[in-house]
Amino acid sequence: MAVRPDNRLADAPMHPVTCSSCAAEVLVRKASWQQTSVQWSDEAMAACSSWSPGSAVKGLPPVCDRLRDSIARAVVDGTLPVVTPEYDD
Amino acid sequence: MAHFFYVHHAFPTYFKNTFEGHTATQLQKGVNRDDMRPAEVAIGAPKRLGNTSVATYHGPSFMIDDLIYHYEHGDTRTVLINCHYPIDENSFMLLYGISMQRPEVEDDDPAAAEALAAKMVATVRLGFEQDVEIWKNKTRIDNPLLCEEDGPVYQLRRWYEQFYVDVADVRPEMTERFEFELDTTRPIEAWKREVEENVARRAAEAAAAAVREPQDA
Repeated sequence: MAVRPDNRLADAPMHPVTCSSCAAEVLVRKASWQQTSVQWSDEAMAACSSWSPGSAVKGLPPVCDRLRDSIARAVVDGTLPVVTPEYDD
Repeated sequence: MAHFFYVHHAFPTYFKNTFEGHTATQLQKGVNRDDMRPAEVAIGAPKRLGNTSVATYHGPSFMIDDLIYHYEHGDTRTVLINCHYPIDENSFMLLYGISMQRPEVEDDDPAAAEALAAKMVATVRLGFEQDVEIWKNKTRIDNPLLCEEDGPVYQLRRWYEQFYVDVADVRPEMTERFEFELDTTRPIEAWKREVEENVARRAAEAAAAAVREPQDA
């Protein structure tokens, strides 16, 4: 059975964001101020140079804090839209 | 997030799904709701302050949940193992087990430690069986119309699809890393203020630039 496309992406697609500290380009979508989705490609995974353990909690997948900063900067610069900010009020 | 609030009576502060390769991980941190009589207190177990959970599916049917419960006297580590296999088109057999770090008790009394551990394990069971009750009463909808708060349902299905096809037919989008994060720790007002300041600053810069460089007639 084929997996259907996500209806939410039709109105508000994911946006490319390039990390400011490496060449990794990922697709990002913020459904609200608090929510962030990141779609990596195998190329972006290979380009990322700063994987680090996300926390001391055992078993957690690695995270990239630099990409996290780049995404936050794209939001405050107004280049990455926040889909439904009114939900957070 | 509403699931944790209404079903588990917890208030999530952080949530993240990471789908990558054949693994799917859910990190969840939460504090307990003060307005609810906690289920664990009802069975005579100590009251929890909150929890940190890292649950990972290794393939389609086997999950290990490293679950730390935060109590006033300190943290207690537990491991919940959950596995399931289909038995007909619409149901599956669910098996699970819980292990727990031996709790510290007065005088290091083994019987008291055992009794406390039994109650705390019962607490974990209560939490897990709140989910099981939902699974007993839900069905699959192939094309759900989702709102933002429903979370990455399609992305989870895209990841799970890899287990329904031959290895040769696994496509990159089924295994490429996808992250879904909810972080309530950064104050929204601070976000908004920073964005507004930036937009205003850029507008002012654009206006100043327009004055300096009038367009050719």
